Amino acid sequence: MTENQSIHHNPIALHKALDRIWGTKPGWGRLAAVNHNVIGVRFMLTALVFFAIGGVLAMLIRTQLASSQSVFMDAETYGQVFTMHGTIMMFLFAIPFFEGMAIYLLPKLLGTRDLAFPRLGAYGYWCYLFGGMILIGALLAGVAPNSGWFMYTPLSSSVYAPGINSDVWLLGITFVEISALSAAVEIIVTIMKIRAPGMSLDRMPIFAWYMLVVATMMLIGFPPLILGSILLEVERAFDLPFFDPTRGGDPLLWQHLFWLFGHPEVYIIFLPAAGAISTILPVLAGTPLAGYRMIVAAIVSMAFLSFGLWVHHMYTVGIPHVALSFFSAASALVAIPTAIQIFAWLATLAHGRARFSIPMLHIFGFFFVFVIGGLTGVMLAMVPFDWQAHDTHFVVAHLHYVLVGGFIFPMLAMAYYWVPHLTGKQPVQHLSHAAFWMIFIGFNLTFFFMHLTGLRGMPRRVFEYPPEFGWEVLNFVSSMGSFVMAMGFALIALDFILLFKFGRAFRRNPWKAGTLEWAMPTPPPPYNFASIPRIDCRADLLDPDVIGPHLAAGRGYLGIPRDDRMEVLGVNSVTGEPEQLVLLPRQTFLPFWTAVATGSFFLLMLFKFYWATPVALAAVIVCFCLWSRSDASSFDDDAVPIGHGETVPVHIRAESPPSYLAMVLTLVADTTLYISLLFGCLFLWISAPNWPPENLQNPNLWLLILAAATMSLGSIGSRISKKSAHMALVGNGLAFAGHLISTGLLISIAFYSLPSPSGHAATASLFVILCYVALHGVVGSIFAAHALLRALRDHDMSVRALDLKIGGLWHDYSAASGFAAVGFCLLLDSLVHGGGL
Amino acid sequence: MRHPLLLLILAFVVWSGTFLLVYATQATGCSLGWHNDEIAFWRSPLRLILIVLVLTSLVAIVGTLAWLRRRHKPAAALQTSSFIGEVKTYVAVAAIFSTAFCFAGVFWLTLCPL
Repeated sequence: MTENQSIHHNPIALHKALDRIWGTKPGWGRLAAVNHNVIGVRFMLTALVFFAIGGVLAMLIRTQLASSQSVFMDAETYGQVFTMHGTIMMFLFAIPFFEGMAIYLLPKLLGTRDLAFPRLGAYGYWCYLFGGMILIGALLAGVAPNSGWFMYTPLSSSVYAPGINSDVWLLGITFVEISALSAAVEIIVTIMKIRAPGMSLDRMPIFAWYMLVVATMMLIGFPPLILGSILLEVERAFDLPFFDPTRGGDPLLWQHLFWLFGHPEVYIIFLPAAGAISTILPVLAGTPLAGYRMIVAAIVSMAFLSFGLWVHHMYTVGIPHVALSFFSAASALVAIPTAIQIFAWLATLAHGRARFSIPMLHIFGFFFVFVIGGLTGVMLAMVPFDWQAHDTHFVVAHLHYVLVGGFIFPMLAMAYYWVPHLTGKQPVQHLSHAAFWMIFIGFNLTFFFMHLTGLRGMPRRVFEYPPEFGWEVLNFVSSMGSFVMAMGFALIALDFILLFKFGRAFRRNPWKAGTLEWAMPTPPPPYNFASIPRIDCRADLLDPDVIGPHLAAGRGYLGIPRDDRMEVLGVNSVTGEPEQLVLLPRQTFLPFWTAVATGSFFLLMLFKFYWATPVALAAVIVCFCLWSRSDASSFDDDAVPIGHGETVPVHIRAESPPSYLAMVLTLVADTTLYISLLFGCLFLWISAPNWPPENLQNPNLWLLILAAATMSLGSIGSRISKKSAHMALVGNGLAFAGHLISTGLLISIAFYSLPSPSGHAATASLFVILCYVALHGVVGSIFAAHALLRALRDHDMSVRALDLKIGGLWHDYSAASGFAAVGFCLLLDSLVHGGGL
Repeated sequence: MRHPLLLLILAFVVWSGTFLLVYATQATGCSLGWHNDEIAFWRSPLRLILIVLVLTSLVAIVGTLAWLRRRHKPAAALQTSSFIGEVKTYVAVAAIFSTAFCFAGVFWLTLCPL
């Protein structure tokens, strides 16, 4: 019998063959892991370690505030501790934890074997780990950020924060955010393209809808923060005065950029948790989720509304009434889609018979705490109330009710629900109830009374307070509560340790769920499904007990491994019908080394070795170029059998491969950053003092138009190269030359034609915009050079078509950004010189 | 712009564009002093521009909803089509309500810092 015949008749042989292909190698091979099970668990475990560190810092804060005029910490130490508490909880715990959860769960719920870009997931994890280590290292060294987790300028500017503390935050968080953006792209593409056949949009599990919305929000929400961090770091490092009002900058620009990210961030944290509740609650209630379609509409609406209320963090900065009304109305409105979800969950509970298990207890905790947080949120959305409570402990209490209610309790519900899946074991101890009640009571004791502390006027971020103000008793109660809560979390940790050690094995699907993650052995094998299922109803109303053995026997799609290749199916994003065979890259150290190179760039920036940063950047580029060595170009067949008598093309020959969508999404994020930059510069013109600048000298306009025109040669060249194999050399050569010339022109304008960018924010704006376009020219020339090399190597034209399509997108965007830069220079000139002011 | 998911969010994309446009126009108008004159109905040019912008957006979103509802539904994948259609309608109605509610202040509230 051949190996394939043996596999065909024997599920154990099939399992062994797939395990060999998909599994992570032991020892150093673990650094080469790209499998979503491994990466997802690493994300979650690392996030929990950071959660523990953030929790210890919270205890230090509560110890300090338990009594007035405490000498436990001085102002500087307290500043570092509370800044790092917020930073860790928001950036190193909440977001990465749900990223890890999505990375672990999504392929299983979607009925597939892995995410669309396993190497990208691994790269994101290493960036997250290394970025987090930079921040924790700074904390241990006593140079942690100390300007608050929102890093308001001018407190974080070099005048008031001359050390490297703020740089640690700006560079470390930007490094970490690479993982958020890469996860966003990966999640969207996976949900859109890598699903089980037959899983049309209306059959997707509700969790996939939530994650689709969240990932899109991340794609739009993170670029403004990254831009703000870059601008502030550029100001600190090179004295470009974006936030310095004496030279045409404005500290409010930072607040706008930060909260453009910061408020959607709350929903980015809440929605995955809500998605988990929408998945778990119907199972525990024993009835399908009520209002599936209404919930999808609600989360889409919520995503948009959440971007229209960033200014509600800035009500007190002097914004006119009418503008306040836009944001106040949007802040109140966002409660409606939230309420729709809550009522849908209550309706689900009312229709079914709820099982009062541990996950359900935590869902009860979620309902109680989150609803209170939502109500105080509506109170704060009202401008007159906010003016009274702004920057007091009332706001601290509100945000903890929202975040702990909206994330921690659902996270614990998820943990108790899915830990049997992760470990293959069920709890035997009885600590879980006590742990829940300690957390629940401790939390309310801590934060409910903090509302009162705030209403009595205690401001945030103070490290001591006078005893005669009457805040001491309330603070003491809060501190006691926080220690009860901390003991509850310690008990949870003990409960899980006991579960891992002594948990008992269980049969398949212990909760009798209808989702696909239970249609596999637990703990899950690296390939998830021995064969891929076909879905014919909504993917949370399935019977995993029937589907599981069927798939394990290899009776689904791709039930026979082929040439040691990691294969998944790509589907039509709407109908879910198979369109392509997606070949995934094998285990590799490249993501690790690329993250090391990226990290070295950030470290060189941090320690101000600016001269060496081009070397690190070159290393990053080389590493990424090496990624392109393994593709599917060696797969010769046009149509590949996938089982059930169906054939599809390999993804590089398909109409709409995943990588094409990934590039579109990358450009969406890039465009958001560019638009934020242009709007930010116009904002300075409108609002910053000391405008117009004296003697604003615009760059040489004709030279700039020439640069944009040569940049568009990339676009023209990519079109020529698609026409025929013979024209590929000409077209790609033209694109390469166009990008190089335009980059040279832009750099010469930025560095030699403009006056010193440190003189005024207007010049600094022009300088940064030119550098942005020049950077796109550099990347465009790399795309063109890569396509040129492949054309020289005479690859099959159908193989190169995907490269050309992806490169073409970049070339088009670069040309558009070049012309937008020309337009911006003209606009700024006319505003400044044409009587605009 | 034919992908069903893009059509699903279309109404709120218009809302987002309106938000940016109205906020940017208000800030620019205040900076350029468009609120200081009265031209018609005891209204300043800035207020009239903002009112026109809001009403135009409202009409655009209502038009979007009408267009989305008129669009041909393919016979294939009827269930998917009905799902997208229903969600699209909910989202568009939410966008209409949000536009009217968020921007109503342009009719009477103080436009610029005093």
